[in-house]
Amino acid sequence: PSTWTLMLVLGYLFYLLLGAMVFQLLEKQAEAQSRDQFQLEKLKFLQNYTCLDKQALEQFVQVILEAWEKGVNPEGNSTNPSNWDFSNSFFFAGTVVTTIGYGNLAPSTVAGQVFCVFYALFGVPLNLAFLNQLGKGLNAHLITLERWVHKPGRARVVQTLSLALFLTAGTLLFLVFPPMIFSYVEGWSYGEGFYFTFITLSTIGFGDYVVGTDPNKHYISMYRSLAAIWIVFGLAWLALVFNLGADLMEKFLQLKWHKPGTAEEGVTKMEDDPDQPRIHIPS
Amino acid sequence: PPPPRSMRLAAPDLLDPKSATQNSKPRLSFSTKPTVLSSREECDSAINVMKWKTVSTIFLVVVVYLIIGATVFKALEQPHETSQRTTIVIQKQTFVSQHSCVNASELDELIQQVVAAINAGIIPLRNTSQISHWDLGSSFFFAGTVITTIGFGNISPRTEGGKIFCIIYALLGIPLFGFLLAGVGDQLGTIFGKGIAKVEDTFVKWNVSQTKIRIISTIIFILFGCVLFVALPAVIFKHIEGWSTLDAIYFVVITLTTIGFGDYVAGGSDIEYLDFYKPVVWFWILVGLAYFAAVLSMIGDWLRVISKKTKEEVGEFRAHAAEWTANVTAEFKETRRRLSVEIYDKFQRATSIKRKLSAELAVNHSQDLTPCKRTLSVNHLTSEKDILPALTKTDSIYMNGLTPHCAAEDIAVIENIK
Repeated sequence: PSTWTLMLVLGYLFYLLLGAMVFQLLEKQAEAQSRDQFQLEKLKFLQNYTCLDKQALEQFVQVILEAWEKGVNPEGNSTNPSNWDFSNSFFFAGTVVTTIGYGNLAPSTVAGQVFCVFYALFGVPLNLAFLNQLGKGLNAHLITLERWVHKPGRARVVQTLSLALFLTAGTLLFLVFPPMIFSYVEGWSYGEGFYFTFITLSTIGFGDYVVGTDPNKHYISMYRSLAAIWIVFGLAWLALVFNLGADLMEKFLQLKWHKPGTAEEGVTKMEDDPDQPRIHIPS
Repeated sequence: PPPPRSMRLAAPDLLDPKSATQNSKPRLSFSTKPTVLSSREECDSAINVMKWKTVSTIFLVVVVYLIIGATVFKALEQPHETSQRTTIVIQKQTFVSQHSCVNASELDELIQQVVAAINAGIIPLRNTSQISHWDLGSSFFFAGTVITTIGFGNISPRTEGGKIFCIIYALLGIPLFGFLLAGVGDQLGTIFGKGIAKVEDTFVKWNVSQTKIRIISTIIFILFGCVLFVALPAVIFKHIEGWSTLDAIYFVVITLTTIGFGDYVAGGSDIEYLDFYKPVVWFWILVGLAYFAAVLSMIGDWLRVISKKTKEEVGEFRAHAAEWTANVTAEFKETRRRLSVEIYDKFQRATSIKRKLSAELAVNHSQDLTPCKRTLSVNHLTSEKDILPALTKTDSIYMNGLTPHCAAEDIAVIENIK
């Protein structure tokens, strides 16, 4: 199983790399073209309209809007870093297979769109399998921890305490610290950082806050890749927590099941039970 | 009493679609155990009715939940949005009146304003009379994109309250939607299963093998689902939204995999839509998600089967290699035995004559020759002339068998001989 997990991890990484390269290949040129065109439009605007009227303004706004919809930031100049350089493409591939889909970046060429469809069709199950396997691996570690805890002589308090410790550590590592880093680097408030964290790890991914997109900031080169890794492990951790919750809920329900009670109660209890593993990704 | 019993049966089935579909219906993927194509139990229909009831109950709860979410989002977001819009209009007006001539820095300022407006989810074209993004229908749609985790992002909460509510709303809504999806998927599976069972029954009459039937039914499932959930909606979107065919299909797939970039959103532009358009779109998303979950899990199963087969093939290759080695060894042993016997027979006389002498000689001469080399030299011999002097040096023991460590060289030797 360990070699299998390793193979899966490698396959997963390879898949991400492949996607990053193909997206880069397909998108970069089109992006550069549309950006150049936008710069030209700007220059033309300056030349033609020395005095503004309303219609001209509307036209100009339309131009900006179109540029924005094509994924070009109309601020600054043409020396802006590319949206489809390698690390960005990698990040984009990650957001596709995890089904986050921020949407601040989206393929605009026909080929890119077609590839994206098939990339998602196979990448999403692959990502699910990966997360599953990672969750299983973590679970195995949890079992050894449990054995250590379950040694005779240890009180039940210790068990719950260790579980609580594990959960707290995970929460700190994946939910509490990252917003601090993001708010420090991006200049968001802590609340905004936490909102971004939540929207990302729940795979909703609005794209209103995305790390590493401000053209006026200089990020360290590994920043986005590190963020992508954080996303993957955060998702796996969430999957593990959901599995754990499902297990606990199952045990609890089994206890309830053998106790005499009305069936209606049982049914409502079942309905309340949030035991869908990895509920954020329908499977 | 019977109703609680069936409820007991129905509830776990709903929660665990796997156990539910394994009851008797043909499954939609390859990975499942071959199911018996026989008639179903009568109690299934009662369970189905109960399932339907549970599903519809959850469905109602979800709809109510969505309406609550829509109203809260509307209350929180609409004032902020309106104020944002009025400010941008005022800024535009002041720009026109104050600056009759434009310079670059002012232009950049304008651009920044426009970008900020776009970021805030406003299309900064025309005037304030355009429809709000946070009217009830749009808020409903937005709430739907939150709990399905699609998250188009063309609209997103901007106020503090809206963000906090969004987090809590998602925390509760996503598990709820999970239940609904499981239920819908189960029902969808049942409907498809019934259809496929009928097709399979006809195929069984034609004496087609089980695997072929499975493949055909899977293809039918994919084709039918594609037509119903991909092609038909794509055509509708193409006409209503004015997209190209590819754009429409792209939108369908990106939505139903819950990726949801938000570059194309049904009902997201300024076109006047029919009142029931957005609810219908939402319902399509719900059923389509179940279908896509089935398709994605099927692809996942295929990936698993492929990986298993690769594993097995690697194992088989290893087994083949081991077998091949064993065969070669056996063949080689046989050849060696035959050879040595032949040689032995041929020159038995010669050897027996000179045995005593040669034995004495061998003791003296073999110091510079390893046993391996000596035996090889024996095996190489093709004429009596060469053999005889060799034999004089060699002890007859070496003719019957080779020491194991010169096996590799021996193979080459035997091939030479052949």
